[in-house]
Amino acid sequence: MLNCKELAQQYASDYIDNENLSMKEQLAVRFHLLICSHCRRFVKKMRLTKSVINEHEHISGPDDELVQSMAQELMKSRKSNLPSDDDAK
Amino acid sequence: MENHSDIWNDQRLLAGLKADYQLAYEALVRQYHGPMMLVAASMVDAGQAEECVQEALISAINNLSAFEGRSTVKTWLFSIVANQARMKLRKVKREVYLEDITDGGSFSDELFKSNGHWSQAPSRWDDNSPEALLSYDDFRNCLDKTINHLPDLQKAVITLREYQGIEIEEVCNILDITASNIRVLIHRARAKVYAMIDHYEETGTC
Repeated sequence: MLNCKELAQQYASDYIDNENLSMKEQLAVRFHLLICSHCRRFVKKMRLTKSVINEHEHISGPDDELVQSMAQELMKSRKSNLPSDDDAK
Repeated sequence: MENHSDIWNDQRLLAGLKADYQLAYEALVRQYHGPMMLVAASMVDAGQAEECVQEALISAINNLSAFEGRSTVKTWLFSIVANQARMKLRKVKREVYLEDITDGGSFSDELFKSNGHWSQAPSRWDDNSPEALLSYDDFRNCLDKTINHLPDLQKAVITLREYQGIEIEEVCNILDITASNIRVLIHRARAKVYAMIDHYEETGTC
């Protein structure tokens, strides 16, 4: 029989992602949730946390200046590594 | 910030890169520089991470013909930059990096009584949906701050798995950690965000 602490520390994310839990573990979690309103609320909050993270892409990209300068550098590098047109003449 | 309607898919990107189309190179940098930085920064410091990303991008565009479409462009790029970072990763740093997985926790023991029950009922949140929470500017700032302050490896895992949707096995290869490490790291990252939301709901601040 698992308790609230085990659920919160070990099983919660796997449960809401539906990953990694054996049938036995899944049933243990489900049964605990049936009888524990605190953990029901906790799991609901964890699901919301997961959604919030997933829906808010936080990565700031490089600024326009950096994008341009890197793009140009990459193009130069590629050109210098390809056989030059002049060689073909 | 990014204009999401300008996302180039693999086909369009590769065609543009091979044709030396400047906008394709800009799209490559704009779309992948950020996530690649997070992957590299999970292993080496920020300065070295920038070097790794640049080297990886140069290596990629000079080996476009080697990319045979067996994976996606993003997985390919993440693998290249991870390899670059691993080469720079000193032995000592590697041990510290692995410790990050084994130490620390998610929800602290203090939250629970000795019999394993919650010491206090988890608080109620007024906001019930991600849309509601994400509609507040100050909440989004708090979320940015929280995620930016996550340990590097947690940030990298969240980026690859939750944002980029990369399969667990690929994430394992890219970051050189196990599937169970990944599960632990995701859980810890979520626990930090959960704690931030608890605080925000209670006080309106981060």
